[in-house]
Amino acid sequence: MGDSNRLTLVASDGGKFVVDKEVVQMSVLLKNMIEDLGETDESIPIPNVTSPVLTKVIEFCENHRTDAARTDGPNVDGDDARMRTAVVSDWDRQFFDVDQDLMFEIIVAANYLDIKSLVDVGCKVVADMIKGKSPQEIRDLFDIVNDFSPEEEAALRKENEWANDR
Amino acid sequence: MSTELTWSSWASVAATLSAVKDKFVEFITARYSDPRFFDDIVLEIVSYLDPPDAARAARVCTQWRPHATRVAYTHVILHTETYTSVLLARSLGESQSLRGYVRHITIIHCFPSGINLRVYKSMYGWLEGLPAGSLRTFRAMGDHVLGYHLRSEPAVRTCPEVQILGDVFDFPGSVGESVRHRHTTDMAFLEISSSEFLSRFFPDWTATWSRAHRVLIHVTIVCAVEDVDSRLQHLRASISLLFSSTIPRGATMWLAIGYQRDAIDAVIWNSELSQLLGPHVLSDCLCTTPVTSPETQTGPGPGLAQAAAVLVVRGSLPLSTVDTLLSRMGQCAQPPSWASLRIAYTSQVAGTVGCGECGVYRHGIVRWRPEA
Repeated sequence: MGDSNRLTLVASDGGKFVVDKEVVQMSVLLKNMIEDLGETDESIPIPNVTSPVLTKVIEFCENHRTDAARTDGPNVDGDDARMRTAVVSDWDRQFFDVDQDLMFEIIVAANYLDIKSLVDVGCKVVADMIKGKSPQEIRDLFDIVNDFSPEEEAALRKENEWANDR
Repeated sequence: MSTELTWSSWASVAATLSAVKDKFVEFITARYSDPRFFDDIVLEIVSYLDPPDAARAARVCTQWRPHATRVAYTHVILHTETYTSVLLARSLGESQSLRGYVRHITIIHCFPSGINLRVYKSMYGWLEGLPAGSLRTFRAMGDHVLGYHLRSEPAVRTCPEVQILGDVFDFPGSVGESVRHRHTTDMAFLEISSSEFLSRFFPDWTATWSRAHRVLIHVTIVCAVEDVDSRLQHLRASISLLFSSTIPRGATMWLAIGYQRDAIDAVIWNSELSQLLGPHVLSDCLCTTPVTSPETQTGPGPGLAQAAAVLVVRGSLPLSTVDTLLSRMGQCAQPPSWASLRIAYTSQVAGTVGCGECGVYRHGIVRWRPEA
């Protein structure tokens, strides 16, 4: 019989990770799953997340396991949006010092697994990359297609002229 | 005369149509097959942007537009007399949909220019288009005329959290306020209008004040002594707001704190005020000048004496210093009877070296000596 405080997660490529339940439960998705399953020795498949990404996700959760639970989400309407410009810690910034593909895979995985703190940090890092850039620089940075018509683009440029490009 | 299409023409048309289809598919797939930017992730990302960054992000693509626009216009910050604010006010005036996003407003209005109805309409006419009950917070700093107009707006009247600071701020009727108010304003005007005046207290100060560079904001709190604590709380909140917002580099903040002139003034001056400023005194800059006796500091005041601490701070976030100062002021047994805050845009400041340690640019203790 296995350790009741630990669980095995199986990544989409078959990689297995034995992790403390406390760490796993930072994911709201997995926490609910564990509660539904009750005591079990069965491995939990994570079909949308590859081993390299799951490794990083677990690394983050283990580092932040003692953090206070966070439940706040984006609420730019109710709260002053500027209050959300919290600083990213050195550890978190170093954690996301990876290539852009992996960075987004981590954010997407965190979103899928519903790990709020990891989504927050990842999105702050992306937001920092955007700050001070023009629309075209942002598109170039993230390889985003400009799907506005020329007329729409002109109207938007005028509407947002106050936030003119650098 | 009809034109018949040849096979080569058909081939050309077909190639064009195919290219259009590919482009269309590219647009569609770019939006919906890219898991990096699910809507909830985009919303989370843009929520960490300041309004100008969000406004630029709104122009990236159609998927980002609604999320970023919402962030860009949820909190409208108008620093009057900046061209940016004029453009922002114009956009809000022209677009009802943009006004629909507005939930928080901060207005910082230039002191020297004052305001009349024409200026008010050009900058703030769009407020009329905000429905009652739409605002969550409203903060404004400016003169009392501005405050009068703003308070009449339906959206402001129904806003649950309104803070309007001006040179006439919730004027009490018990402390000889009319005299104090007039001289507080006189002093402020002198401070901002005369580099000669400034140089008396800051010998290295060579700022050139002109229409283009001078003060953008003037805030003075005048109130009864017993109300000062709550007024300082408001002022502290305002400073926090200002410094967490979009004050450009090069901006200079002035905070002046004063006491009424009476018998107790000297006692306050020599003990509590010096204690307040003491922690900010460092050995390597003018801001370290210890407070000595009032007589050692003189100024060309209009006649009636006011004791004041003037803290001049360079743009880069010395909030903790100011906040500490205000906290201590609030803890005083005898708090100050007024405080004044101004933001100056100075582009021609030269020969000044701020203290790298404390962030304080210059501070001086100013004493207006009564005329003989």
